[in-house]
Order: sequence, then C-alpha cells, then structure tokens
Amino acid sequence: MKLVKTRVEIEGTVHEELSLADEEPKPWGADADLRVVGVATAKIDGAERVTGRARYTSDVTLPGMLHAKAVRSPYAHARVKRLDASKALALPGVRAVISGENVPRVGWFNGTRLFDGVARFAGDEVAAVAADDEETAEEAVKLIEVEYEQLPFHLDAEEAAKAPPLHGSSNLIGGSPKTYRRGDVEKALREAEVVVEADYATQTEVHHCMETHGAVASWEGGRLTVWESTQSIQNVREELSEALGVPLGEVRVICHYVGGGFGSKQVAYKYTLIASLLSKMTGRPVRMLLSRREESLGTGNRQATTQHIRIAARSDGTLTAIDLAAMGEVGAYGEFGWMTEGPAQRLYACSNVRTVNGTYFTNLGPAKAFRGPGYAEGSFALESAIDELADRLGIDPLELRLRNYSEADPQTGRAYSQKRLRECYRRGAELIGWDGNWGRCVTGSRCRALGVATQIWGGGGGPPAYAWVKMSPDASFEVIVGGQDIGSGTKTCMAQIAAEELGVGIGRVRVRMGDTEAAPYAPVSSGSRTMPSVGPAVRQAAADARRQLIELAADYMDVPTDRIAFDGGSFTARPERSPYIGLEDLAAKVDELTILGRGVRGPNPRDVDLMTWGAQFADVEVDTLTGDVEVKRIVTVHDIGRVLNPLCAGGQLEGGVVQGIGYAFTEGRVVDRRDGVVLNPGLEDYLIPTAMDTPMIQTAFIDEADEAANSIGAKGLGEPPMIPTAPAVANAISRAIGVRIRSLPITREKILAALDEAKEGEGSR
Amino acid sequence: MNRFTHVDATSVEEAVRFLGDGARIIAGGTNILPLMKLGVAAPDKLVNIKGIPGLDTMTFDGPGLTIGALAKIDSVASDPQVRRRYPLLSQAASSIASPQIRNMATVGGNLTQEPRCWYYRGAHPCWLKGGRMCYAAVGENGKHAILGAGTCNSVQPSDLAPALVALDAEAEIATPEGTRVTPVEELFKTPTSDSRRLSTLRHDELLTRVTIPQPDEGDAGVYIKKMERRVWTFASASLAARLRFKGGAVAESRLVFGGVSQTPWRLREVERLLEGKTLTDEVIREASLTSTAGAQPLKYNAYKVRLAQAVVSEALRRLRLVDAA
Repeated sequence: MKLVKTRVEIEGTVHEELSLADEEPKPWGADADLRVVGVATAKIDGAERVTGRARYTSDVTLPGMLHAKAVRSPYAHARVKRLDASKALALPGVRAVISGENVPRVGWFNGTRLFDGVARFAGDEVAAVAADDEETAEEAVKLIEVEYEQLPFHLDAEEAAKAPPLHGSSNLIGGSPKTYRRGDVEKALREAEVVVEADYATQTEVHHCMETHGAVASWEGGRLTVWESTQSIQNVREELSEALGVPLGEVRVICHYVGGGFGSKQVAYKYTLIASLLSKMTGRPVRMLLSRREESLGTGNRQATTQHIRIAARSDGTLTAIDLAAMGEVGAYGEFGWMTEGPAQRLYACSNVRTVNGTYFTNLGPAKAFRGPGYAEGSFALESAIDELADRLGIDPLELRLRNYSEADPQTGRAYSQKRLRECYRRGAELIGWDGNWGRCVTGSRCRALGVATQIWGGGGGPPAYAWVKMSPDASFEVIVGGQDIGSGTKTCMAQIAAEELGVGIGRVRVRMGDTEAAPYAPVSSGSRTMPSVGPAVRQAAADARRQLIELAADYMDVPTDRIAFDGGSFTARPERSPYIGLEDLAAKVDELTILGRGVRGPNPRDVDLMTWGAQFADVEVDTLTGDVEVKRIVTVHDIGRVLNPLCAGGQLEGGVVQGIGYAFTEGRVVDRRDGVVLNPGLEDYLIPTAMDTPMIQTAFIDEADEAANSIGAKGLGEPPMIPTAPAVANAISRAIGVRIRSLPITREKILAALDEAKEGEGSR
Repeated sequence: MNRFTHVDATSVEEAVRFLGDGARIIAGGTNILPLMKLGVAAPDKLVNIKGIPGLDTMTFDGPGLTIGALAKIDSVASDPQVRRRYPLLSQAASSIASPQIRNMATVGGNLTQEPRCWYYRGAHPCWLKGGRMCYAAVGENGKHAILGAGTCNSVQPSDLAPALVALDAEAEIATPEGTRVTPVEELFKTPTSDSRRLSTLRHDELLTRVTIPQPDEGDAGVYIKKMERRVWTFASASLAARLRFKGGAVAESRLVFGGVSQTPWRLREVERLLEGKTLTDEVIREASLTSTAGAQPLKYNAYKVRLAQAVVSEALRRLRLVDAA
C-alpha cells in the first residue's frame, strides 16, 4: 500500500487528492469472458422493494419515539423579534420546544447558526416541537407565537447583485463570477463569418423525491444513532459529528433504502440537527419526517439560470468562438455555483472560449445538486444555440456537431480514456430515422420533426472508497460497504462484481450497505460516481478474499498456490486438474473458517480524462393552434464504458429521460414575485410527468469496456440521461414549428406566444 | 387540522338536519380533506353522507338519466350507456384527475368543489377566504380567469359542470324546507362580497341528484380539455359542446367553457350564431372568435384566449365529422 496523488472530477469540478494505491487486479478487458458482470440481472433487493418489506427511514419506529414538526417563517426574510412557546408547551403530549431561545450554538451555513433569529426564505425553520404524535406536534406548532420583523428580500440573481448580502460580504458566491478563457474570443467574434447570439433561461426545478426528506434520531448516553433518508450516510455522519461536537466514532448513520434522492439528499439538513437536539433534550428517539409541502420548500432544487450565449463560426460550420455569460440563483443556503459553463468549455473543439458564471444567494429555498447539476442547464443553452447555428448555416445539426467533434479534452488538452460519442450519434440516428428532412411533416395544424442533443458529463469516479468481502463459515460471501444504494441497483452490481471475481454464483453473495457501523468508508452517491468508485474496490476486496482462499486450498492440498485454479466454487490443481476440493468442503474442514478480503479504490489514470458521452434524439409533434406538444419517441444512446447490468442501466436511462421530460415541459417552482412565497408547494400544482406524459423511450449503449478508467471498465450513469432531454425536445420543436423557445419549461403559453410573435413579424414585413 | 365532530347521516332528511353553519359534507373526501389539511376549511362538524342508501345509483328511464350525488366519477366515466347516449359526459368524467381519485370522488363533490387557486389554497389571506384583496389579480395568474371575473379571479375547476350545463341537466337539492329543483347552470355563481362562494347552495342544503334529459335525435356532443400535462390536472381551458343537427345544419347548440371563468361559461352568443347554420370553415372561425368576446386577460393568462378559441374550433370540427358520418 502506498500514497499517490490523483485527479478526481465530480460534477464538473476537478480536484487533486492523495489516495491509497494497492496492487490492482488486471482490468477486465473489452473481450474478457465474463459470466455474471454484463448480464441482465434482476435487482437482488427487488422483491423486498415491491412487496413493501424494504424498511425506509419513514418506516422506522422506535419505542417511546416522539414526532417533531417545525415552525416555518411565512416571510421571505425576517427577524424573529419575539417567540413565545408557553401555549405549545402547555398542550398535553408536547415534550419539548427548541428555538433561538434554548438552542445550543450549532453552526449551520456560511457563518449562520441554527435558529439564529433570522429566517432567510419563506419556509425557513425558526423553531420546532417534539410531541407524542404528529398531530399534537402540528397543533403545537400553531400555538407558538412568533413576532417577526420583516426585512428586505430579493428573489433573483439580478436583484441579488444589488441587494445587501445575505451571508458574508456578497450575495455573489466567492465574491466574483467564475471566469474561464482560452484563446481570443473577441477577435474570433469580430472575424467570424456568422455569429449566433441569444438569451436562454432555465427554471427552478424541485427534486420531489417520492420519499420525503426525514430523520429519526436516538441517543444512548453520548452515542447518537440517526436513520436518515440520504445519498450519503458518511456525509451525514461527518456533518452531525462536527455540528454537534460528538466524536465521529460516536455517531452512527443508517439508511438501507432511499425513496429517491436525485442530488437533494447528499447532506444533513436542519431537520437532522433538530431531531438530534430534540432527542437529546427529551431523552427519547425523535422522528422528523417532512410533509410534501415542506419537501417543496427547503430540501433542495435545481438552480434557476439565465444564459447569454454567442457562438461564432465559419460558413462551413467550424466553431471559432463560444462566449457564455451565465447567472445562477441558489437560494439562501445554496452550497456553491454549479458548472453551468461546463458544456460550453468542454463539449466542442473550439479554440476560443470564454465563460463567466455568477451564482447568487437569494431569499428562496436552497438549491442542491440535481441530476447533472449545471450541465443540464448549460446543455439546454449550448445545444439549443448549436441548432440555431445549424439553421443559420443550413447545415444538418448532427453534421454540425460531427464537424466540431473533439478528439481530446479541449479544456485540458489531455486525451480521453475512451470516447465513443461518434458511435452514439450514429446509432441514435439509425434508431430514430434521422434523414435530410429531420422527419419533418405537417398535417393541418400538426407539425412534427426530430431533434438531437449531446450529453457530456464526468462520471469517472475516483478515490476514496473502500470495500470488504467477508466469507462466513458456510462459504457464503458478504460485500460490506459503508455506502448506500439509492435505488439505482448499486447492491446488485456489487454482488455481480464480487461473484464474477470469486467465480461463484450471484446467489452466494449478499451485500451489506447503508450503515456506517462496522463498514469501510464509501462516498456519497452523487456525481455518477458510485460504480466507478466503489466497484473497483469491491473487485479488489473479492480478489483479496480469493487469493487468501487459494492459499488455504494450496496448503490443504499441498501444492504450490500458482497451480491452484479456483472457479465455479471449487479448487483444482493444474495441470492434471486434481486433486480437487469444493469451497464448501474446505470451509467444513477448517473449523468456523472466516475470511476478510479488503479493497481500496486506487488512483485514477494519469494523463487521460474520464468522461461519459451520449446522444439523445426526440421525435415531437406540436399543434400550432392549441400549443399541444406530443413527444412521440425519445432515443437515447450512451457510452459509459462497460455496462455492468443492462437491466439496471436501461432503467437509469428511462428514469433520466422521464425526469428530463418534466424539466422540459411541466416542472417549475412558482414563487409570488411580490412576497417570495412558493405557490406550488405540492404535487397538485407542481406537475411532474405522469405515465401518460412519458413517450416511447428507446435506450442503447455502446457498451465497450473502458480499460484505462478502472479495473471494471465501467463509468457512471446516474446523471447522463437527463442532461440532453430538454435541448433535444426544444430542438425538435423548433424544427417542427419554425420558432424557438429559449426558456424552460416549454409551456403552451410560450409556444402560442412565440407563434403569435412570428406571425406578427411576417405580417409587418 | 382542527378538531371536529363526525356524524353519519342515514337519510337525506337526517343529513339536512345535521347541516348548517360550521358543518361540511363528506363523501369521497377528495375535496374537503385536503382543504382541512391545508387549513382553508375548518368545520366543526363533518356530516358523512356515504351511508345514505340510494344516492349512488344511476338510472335511465323516461325523463332521462338520473345520477345520484354519491355516484363515483368512475361509475359515470365507465358506464356504457352514458358513453353511448351522452359521450360528452363520459369524456368529461374520464378527463378528471387520476383513476384513484375517480374511484373515490363523487359527482356531488365534483360539482361543489372549491377553487384550485393557489392563493386560495395557500397561506395568502385572499378575498375569497374573507380577506381584502385578490392576490391573483396582480400576482401569478397564468391559471386564472379570462371571462366574467369579479373581485376573485379563480376558475371553476369542475369538468362535470360544463358537461352537465351543456346537457341541460337539472339538480335536485334537499333543503330543510323540502326538495327544490334547479338547472345545474344555476348551482354556480360569481362570488360577491356578501357571498364569497362559487356555489349557490346554502350551507344547509344537500345536492342529491342530477337529471339529464333524454338525448334528442341528431344530438352530438364532445368534451375537450386542455391541460398543462396530459392527464391528472385541472383544465387550462375546456369546452363541453352539444349540437343537434337537422338536415346538415345546426338546429340547437350548447357550448360551455370550463377553466376560463368562475362559473361554467355558456357561450350564448355563439349558440345564437350557430343556429340554422351549416358548419363551414368560415362559420367555425366566426364562432371561435366570438367565443372569447369580452375576455379580459390578466398579465400571464392571455394565452387562454387563443386556447379557448382553438378549443371551440376543434370541437366544432369534430362534431361536423360526427354529423357527416
């Protein structure tokens, strides 16, 4: 074991870190003969999930457990002048109230504290109650009298730029916009044969996880156990330890199943701290599970953006400049500015690129990462603008993309470990029936056409991640990982990897995840990183267990280890393939034989960049009289290296496209512009796509192992499918009706208004 | 949610005795329970009418189709006779919400449901709830009324309402004084400052049945609903249209908008215009443009004018095809 420096990219941001390196198994090459990995395998916990046996955080009940509810500010920005909980405390069944009056000093965000007397968005917590049941807690919340002093507030990036800072010295995160440049953009724009310039905007999208956010906290002496619906038991553990001043080893976080995260469940929230503090105050377990309305307000959303983009090109379509000025709005407690500018910097071979991105705090609910954060927003603008350029030049939009294909990372100059985007375009074009007319067809008021957009994203993963593989005396194996399966099939794929390496059937392998206790560290399930980060560690741990077993078998059979073959659950000695002993027999010979194999995710390869790619095509019909849009079909083709499990991977693609359809057409938080109150905090008015809104989705993979990436040849997939959906349908709509919608969501209102405007334009000409 | 008492009514007379100030009816619960959870409704007493016998039936006889107030939306949507004789009613019922809700919600509840305006259902002290102003008038009003709005700008959310008005249905209402019968159209009103409700039913009255006359020879009908998503939401604009054709011309018509005004909005001018006419493209165009006469769109809902006109065109074109067939 040694320490090496390595580059890791997560959600568009690259950082260097020191990582452990151990001897790695030789990568499974593209032509490796694998029997379990790569096979469509039903989820090993599927039966638990569909029969209701799976125990989610919302199912946790403990003896004596109390229920907590929060008092939330009705105002976008207010100071708590007076808070009187006496009536609530007098209500039978109420056990404790926590507020600014009695809270210990707990750091929260950017120098603010929990219950620090200022509410920074409508819905921000100002107090909480623990009671015997949820109804009593709700009643008590209404009995808490709060007198507020309303403060000035701002709701968008432009207002934020002029308003007094909500945190620190500026509403602009980092004090100045993130800027990037290569080449000479101004010169290229001046000398360009054609320039496309347009303003795009994307809305605030709410994650709306099926299982709302929530936690159950319980103390035993100085030891805290928290069940949390989370994408990272380790992050929650670390944050609780730090905020509450409890040693890391005294905090245990458990999460066996998650009803959706999509980026919004990567961290501890105020409710996690509140449940922990109320549990400490009352000496009883406390459950704090958010309602659907609360889920809408304060548990994350995708940043809203505005993007001004200029693209310069030669008349043959060669890009000569990309110039992007973006602004984002991340609410009162957004974490940082997402990489809206990522696609502009990295998708196309273009030597002159400038991006400026300013992200602002506002008096709204906090933005959190949302499936392809930054890249989904940025791809909508860039991939729409590329189509506008294609229209201007009269070049096929797919051909234009191919003419600007980048063989190396245009940002770093480094080669890619593997890039099969060209194959994605080709396969997708075949499947959708892309031709010179782009499927254009007009029948009365109904106009139909095809559109395309590209997916670029990281997803290479990296250290740190660890895994153990334990063999029990009954010769069954357990993969032990201190991470979580957020529903994407992580457990199943890990079982496949271990079974493959051990040469046993998948039925011999169980996977233990979702508990920080007695399990090695694994990272947050975000950034499409879980499989490429944890998967190789699992393989190494299985290889370690295998090596130990071979040593024991060799000793038992009294032959050198290099003559032992271990396959199909039995050991044979080469070349004569005898003597022979089965794994179970060996385990029976040695009393209570237990083996522990250990694995660590080694460093990423030097000198190459790890990326995932994809091409998505949409077939869309629009009725120009009513503004009705029907997405007839989506074809999505991706290159993620090796596909570990086509069943799980196909499901990820379909889910991503459906979420992309929601982003494109119906989803969006609506806020009253005069008071900052969210008007659609629930699923009656916040419209997620239904089965009827879901088009036919055809999925495909290039499925070629990326041997340079890691020992399993696979990269991540969670985020990619959502990234290109909105621009693909926007491009199809524009081709169908001849007018372009430059803001999301694409509503009937915008389509009808754009058609009217175009008609007026014609009339006045 | 507030504390309340819950009483089971076993007959219409008993239900009416239980009703009055502070009491609300519960049947399917899809309207009243969400309102109570939101804190918009806080009744002292819930009168459960689910146990009243005979109120959930649908009968076809001499006068036509009688539907009990407790009939489930799905019973109306999936009934083959309704589908055959009153296709527009079947279509309207099918367009409502989701299968789960259609299996719980009742015809009576659908007709008497409260507005879906997000200011009314949210924390804003809006005029309809007794406050001083309509927040939608100057706020986020993309979903609001373009026709006939008063102080309040919410829209009538019921899909059955325009359908039943187009079918000339009558409502039977139990009152402490006995039974009264009124056209369904008159169940709805624009809220006024002394009666901030969309319904003309008094608090001590119970809608018990609706009766739809037998269809006439030559009747054709259609219900078209435009939504922000394909299913399971309220109408941005809808139209219930019933035409009686005679010799290729329109002998009589009923056209009623949903989702664009506080009441089911009957297009009387268009009905007059169509009388005796053959549905040529020109007639349809005129009808379509006339349909939104007097519209006063707010800042964000002007698209509804064009959408409502498009819905009228679509409906008339489809009915023209029915007549041709």
